[in-house]
Amino acid sequence: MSLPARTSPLSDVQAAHAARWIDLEGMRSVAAFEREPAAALDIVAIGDLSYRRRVGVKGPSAAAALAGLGLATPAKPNSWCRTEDAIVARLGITEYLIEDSAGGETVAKVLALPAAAGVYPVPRFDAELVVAGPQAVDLFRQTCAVDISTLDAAGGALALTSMVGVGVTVAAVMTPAGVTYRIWCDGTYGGYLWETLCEVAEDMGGGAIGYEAVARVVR
Amino acid sequence: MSRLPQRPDEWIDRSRQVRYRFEGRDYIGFAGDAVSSALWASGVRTLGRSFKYHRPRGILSMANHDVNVLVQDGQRLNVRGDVVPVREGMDLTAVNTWGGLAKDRVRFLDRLSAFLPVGFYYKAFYSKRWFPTWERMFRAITGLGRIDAATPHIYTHKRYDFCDVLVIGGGVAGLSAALSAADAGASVVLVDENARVGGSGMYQLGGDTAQREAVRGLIARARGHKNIRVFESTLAAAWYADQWVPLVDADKLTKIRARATVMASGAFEQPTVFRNNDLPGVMLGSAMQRLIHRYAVQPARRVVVTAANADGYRVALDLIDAGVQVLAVADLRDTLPSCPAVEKVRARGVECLPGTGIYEAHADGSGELTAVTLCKVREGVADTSTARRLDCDGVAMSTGWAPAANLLYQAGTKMRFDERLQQFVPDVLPEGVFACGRVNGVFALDSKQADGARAGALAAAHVLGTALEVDPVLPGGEAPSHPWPVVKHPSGKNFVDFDEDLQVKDFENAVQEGYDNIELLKRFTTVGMGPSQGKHSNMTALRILARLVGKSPQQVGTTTARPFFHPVPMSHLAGRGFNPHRRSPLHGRHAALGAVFMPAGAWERPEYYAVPGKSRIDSIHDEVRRVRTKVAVIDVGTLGKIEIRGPQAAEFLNRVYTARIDLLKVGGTRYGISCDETGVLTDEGVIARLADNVYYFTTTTSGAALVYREMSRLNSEWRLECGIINLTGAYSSVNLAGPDCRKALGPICDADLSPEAFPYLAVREGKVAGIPARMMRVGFVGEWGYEIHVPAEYGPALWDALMQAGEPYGIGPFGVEAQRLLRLEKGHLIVSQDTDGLTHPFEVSMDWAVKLDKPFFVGQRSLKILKQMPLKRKLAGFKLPAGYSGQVPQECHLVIVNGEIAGRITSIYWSPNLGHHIGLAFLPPDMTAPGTAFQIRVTDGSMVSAEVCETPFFDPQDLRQKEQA
Repeated sequence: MSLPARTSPLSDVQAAHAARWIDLEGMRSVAAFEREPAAALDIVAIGDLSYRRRVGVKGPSAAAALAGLGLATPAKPNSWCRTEDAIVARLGITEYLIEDSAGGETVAKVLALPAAAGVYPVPRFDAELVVAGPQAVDLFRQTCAVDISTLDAAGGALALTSMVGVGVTVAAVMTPAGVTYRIWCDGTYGGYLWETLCEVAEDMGGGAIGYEAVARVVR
Repeated sequence: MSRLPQRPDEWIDRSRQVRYRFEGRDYIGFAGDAVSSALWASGVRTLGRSFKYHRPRGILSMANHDVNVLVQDGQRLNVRGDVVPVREGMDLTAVNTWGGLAKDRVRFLDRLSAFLPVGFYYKAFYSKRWFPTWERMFRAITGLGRIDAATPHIYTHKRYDFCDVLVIGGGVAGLSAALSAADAGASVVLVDENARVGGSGMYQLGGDTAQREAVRGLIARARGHKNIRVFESTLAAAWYADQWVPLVDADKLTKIRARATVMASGAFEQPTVFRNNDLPGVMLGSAMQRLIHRYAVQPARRVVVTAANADGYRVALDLIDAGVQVLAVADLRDTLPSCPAVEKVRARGVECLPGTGIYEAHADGSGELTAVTLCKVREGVADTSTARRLDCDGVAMSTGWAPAANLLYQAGTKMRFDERLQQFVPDVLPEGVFACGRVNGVFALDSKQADGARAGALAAAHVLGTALEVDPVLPGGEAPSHPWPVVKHPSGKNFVDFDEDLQVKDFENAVQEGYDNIELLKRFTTVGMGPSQGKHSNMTALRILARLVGKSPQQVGTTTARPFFHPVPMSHLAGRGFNPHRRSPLHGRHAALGAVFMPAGAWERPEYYAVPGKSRIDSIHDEVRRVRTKVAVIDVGTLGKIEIRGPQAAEFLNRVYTARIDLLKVGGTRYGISCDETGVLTDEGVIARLADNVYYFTTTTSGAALVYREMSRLNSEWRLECGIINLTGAYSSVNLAGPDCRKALGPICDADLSPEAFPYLAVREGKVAGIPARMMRVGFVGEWGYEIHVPAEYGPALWDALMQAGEPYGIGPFGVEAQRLLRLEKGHLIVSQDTDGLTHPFEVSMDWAVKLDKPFFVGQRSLKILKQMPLKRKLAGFKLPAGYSGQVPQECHLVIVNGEIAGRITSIYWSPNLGHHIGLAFLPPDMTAPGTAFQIRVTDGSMVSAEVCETPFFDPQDLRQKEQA
């Protein structure tokens, strides 16, 4: 029996608003929403990147194990770096998050690591949101007590904080369209986070965007 | 009163007229007018009634500092007329009147004031019998404004903001501080409660146009500075630790976090205390200057100024420039200082009277000012032989100031009373907090600029981590405040607190009754407890108390200024609500099946699945029946799910759980409980050993986060070689239960489900519907069952596959209520429902789960002691008689023995499988023998008989889980 389709943690809250769907990495994702604000990316837009494959590794030997796979890890906690087909985020002294870019295979390599002392794999099925647009910082100012504008996109800074009461990891990512923000959270909080951020964004004149629009600002 | 010719920098837009109503009459003002200025320009001087005696009141401060002018605008109540702009179509009424402002039916209270001294309510309305009557009466006649329950919800945003340096107060000192900090490279936010920055520098002119030019220059530089953001009409309402400051504007509340704060909040001008000092027409000198320079309104035609500082003379000069006839400046000081302002006033032909004060103000028939009596005054006592009456329609009070130090107090500043300045000034400032300008005792224009620049530079240096030493700016030579701005009068009505109608004699009486320290005095008299929060009364009250008890103001001290120091609309405090909740990956599947959701910790869980045409309880009983007779599935993904890996994983769990986890074989599971250091039962779950060094276990839904946090804490102490991984959100889990569950699961599962290969309490890893899964043969509901855990992103696929595979067997979902009933039939307890914060395992018959002979586990020492002691209570099963039809006891109803509380019900349900009510209850140990009868007191006070019985209530041999039923 083959593996069935993956389901996004945001599927339940997005389904009623979806206009078109797309299969991404085996996960049914929204390609476009029915009432997608045309100018969302010019104001503030919320997109879904939950389809990306990711895994965590923690333990005193985690960094060495990743190095053994040829993966560079950030020099200090609360930062991230990009490898050829993935990003590696350092969430603590000995804890890492690895996320594949589209078509990447790094996560599979990490999952295949042999059991070893001091290396503890962490299955992760987060909800992942991307916030883009010139008023992205303003959205954070209505939902988060951390000054997200100080996150250094070029320097790969991460913030482990709380948005609308949900524990999140936020990374500032430089793109040709400007700085965008990636937000990871426990998938079971994803629906609430998505609905709340979309509500705030809609108040600002922006709103949710499907993958067709997300692809313009995310690589 | 009339509108003056155009003033430089006036706030009104003469090209835009605004039509509005006040107390049923039509008026016209200009855009930019405040309600009070527009009315005053129209000749309306009585704008409100006082709170207690319903005395007529007019403008006092013309700032956001007093509540003489509180009006209702439709559904908006308690609108502050002095600062809220008048808008087209407003229909305004004064609050706190019965029958309108002019003909207020309770204005007679003023004549009864002798019978209503401060504290009269404590002595008159204590009778328990009459209290409801008094309460109704007071509720009817007090309160400000009328609430319209149909008022729509006002939607407000919450917002955070950040800056290096927050400057509070946009006057000369604040502007200078902002510029200084910004020039040094700091990002600055400058906030001012007024509609425009500039502060007193733009209206306390004394005819000095050069001052206005200088302040204009500061404003222009600040507005154009790339490092400065200017927030006008914004109140810094409080100061919290770590430099959090709530900023309140018309639409929202912003929580701003600064790295340094400069308090340039200025000072509140204080009323002079004399008889009838509250008549409409008597106002602060600064209020008259605001009317003139901001709104181009002539405050009065004939004015007497009562002064005790140079500001009073500057008021006189501004009044003269505005065409007002200044009859005299009555100066409380014995001698007039030689200063330019005094000389200029004299040069304009105004009589300047040293050692003179207003003994009494007189009202006309409508209660408005018509004359004053001046007397020579010494130490507050008037020499009435020198009395002299002057007809006037305006009195400007300018005898002193109190620092706007509320936020400095909240920040923890140590203040000291400067005898020379007659003002409290900062003595020791907290780290990162700076003060400048009037709040710092610095009043002269040049000095305020220098002091602001100093504070701004220090704040920037603090933020940027640079060393800087700057000499303090010394206050000027003149005391800006008079030490005793009070003139006694035998007939009283010399008001200290305008909010609460407190007179001097009220303080004298309070002290005489023993309320002789500032905290007691405040509570007995309610001074400073009105909407103005003592901005105009606390300092004078403190001076009066100091004089009455023979102490200095420093010795008397000040009261606490709690956040928020100024009233804030409730809508701003509410804002957008954030109530995070978790949803299982199967939430959508439940909703599609008609689930009625209930909160369970942070989760939304299906309480039951509504069946069209059936009641809630019938729907639940259908679910119960399905579990007992067919096959059903429940989402248990909300359980905590934790994995522990590493060579010392067994040792770690052995220390956390009371059982011998190290003896658990690979492929097996064990029920486990954990305790805290006192032996109290804290959580429970099933622990599975997946490999030698890998354990996977569940916790209660509500305990998941706490258990993970506590385990992480424990291992940071123990430093065992293992990793703790919280998989609660990463795995989706269901429990498939019922006699047909194996038949339903078999076709889609690659594991051998035979009892021999997969016995009760075993754990297996395999694939279900192609999905990698962890399966445990456990049964909380007492049926053959499988708990199946899969990666969260495959949860819905698993659910769909199970529903499809179970269809031939009549599968359906069951919710939390059915599960609770089913587990009760098996006598299983729920931690935190059937236990409380004191329950230890021996009280719930879990001795078997506690291995006291282990080397160590958390709570072991306490449990060893408890084991030696007699039990005080014990959880026992009970039942109600079959066919019982009376009021059914509920959880937490009490067990009564000989009229005393002997225990309580923790769970109770009617069992459709047994045909009677069953439950669990804490009882005295000697009452837990099966067959013992006891009484439960229900809500209406009646008693219900129950009988102790054995548990499990259903399938006592657990045969249904062993395929032997």
